[in-house]
Amino acid sequence: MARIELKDVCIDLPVFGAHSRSLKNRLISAATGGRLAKEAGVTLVRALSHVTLELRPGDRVGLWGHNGAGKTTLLRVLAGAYAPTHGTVHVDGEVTSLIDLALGMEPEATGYENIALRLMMMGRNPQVARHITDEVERFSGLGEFLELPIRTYSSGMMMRLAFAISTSVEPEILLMDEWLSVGDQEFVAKAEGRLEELLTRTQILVIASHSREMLERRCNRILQLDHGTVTEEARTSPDAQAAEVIP
Amino acid sequence: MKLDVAGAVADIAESLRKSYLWVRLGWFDIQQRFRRSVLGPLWITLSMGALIAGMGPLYASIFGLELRTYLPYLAIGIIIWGYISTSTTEACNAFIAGTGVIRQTRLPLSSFVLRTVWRNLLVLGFNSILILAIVLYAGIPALSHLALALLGLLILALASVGAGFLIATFCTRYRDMQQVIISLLQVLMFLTPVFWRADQLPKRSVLVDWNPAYYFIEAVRAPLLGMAVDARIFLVAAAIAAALCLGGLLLFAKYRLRIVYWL
Repeated sequence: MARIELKDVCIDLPVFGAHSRSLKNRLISAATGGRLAKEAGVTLVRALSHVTLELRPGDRVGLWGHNGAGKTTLLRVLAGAYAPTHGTVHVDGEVTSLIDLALGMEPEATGYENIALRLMMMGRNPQVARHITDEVERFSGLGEFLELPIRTYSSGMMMRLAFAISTSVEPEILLMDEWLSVGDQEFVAKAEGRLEELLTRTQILVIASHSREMLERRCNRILQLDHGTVTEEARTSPDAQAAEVIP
Repeated sequence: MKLDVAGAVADIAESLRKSYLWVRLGWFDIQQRFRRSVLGPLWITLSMGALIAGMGPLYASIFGLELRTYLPYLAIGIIIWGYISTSTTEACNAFIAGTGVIRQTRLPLSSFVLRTVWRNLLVLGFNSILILAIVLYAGIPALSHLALALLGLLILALASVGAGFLIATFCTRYRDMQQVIISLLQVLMFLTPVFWRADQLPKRSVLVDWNPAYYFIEAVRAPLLGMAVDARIFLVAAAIAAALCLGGLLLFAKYRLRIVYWL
């Protein structure tokens, strides 16, 4: 069973200027007894502040907040990329991130090669995941274009491929940054259906968005982020309450 | 930051389990470099061949040595040096090149170091075609000592894994270090017996005795040239490799979880 537990998590992001990164400045500040320490010191930005959370199967969590409130940072913590500076994070279950659909894809490589590349970035062995290639081939509808380097693709084709691969795995925990909407009109409907279907197989969904309305429609828990602190809102949507009872 | 050796070892174990992350991607890097060229990665062999064909006769006549004996010496030296130099320089960027991926996923960080080392070993593989050809041309019975040369190569590969962890971690935090390393390597190339021979010096020099690159080059070169192999060379090379691996592991164990914040 998938489960996520964050206890008193803080993330301090160091902001390096050209100065603090160089060893020279470190040495100068050591040699001058730290008088230049202000220049050499690293500025820290507290991106998340004492976050405590527990997510269980059936949770559809919406992260809502302004730009810079910490939504992306929280997603990166859940993805396992950021280790907390303070506190503990426990994630049980395979995490699939749909934050950047094209992560790891290379323009000069062919469609088939990119399927393998993208799968590897999601931690799947492309040798083992052969069936995924067939499935992506079918769903993306790119046919013989998969033999060509993807730099020759239109942006719509590129998105179709990236979307098809990224949604081809079985997720336990799914992370999204905004609701995905890709391609031409025909494909949008197809993609929407696939995403909905993926969500029914997902145990925990965490989605960050600016759109309050979408979150209320899709989620049964809404977490509001403000300057790195998280507050959980009372559930408002009747649909979401219904989903909560049934799971 | 506490020293998390168990975490670092688990990270490395995961990379070994998911070997496709560096084996396939390292090979992909090479293909990527020569995409749309007709000869592809064979260009590695060709351009190195051109360098050796140009320098061999020149330096042989400067030093007054016979080309047949000097050419294999130069070829092996320059190819092994090329491996040391490029794998060191590229290690600086091992994590930096993976910024986008490292920030968003939890792939084992050590796979990025292994990918750099593996990629350079592949380049070395393409260049060893030349070594084989030149050794055959020179009529050296090198194959009898092949096992020893491969042992030297194994020690060198392990050393570059250790150095890779050290350099990649350090260079991600201090971005000036790459320039420092490039400058040092440039000087070191001329100070190392790559083009010239250690016995050409009037007396035994610190350039040879205290030069780590010398031991690695010699451990591969001497057996392939069919020369008497000094056990001390192998012992020193192995000791340096062990020290680099230990240092690399400790540094990685200490800062592994910080690396993403330095990108």
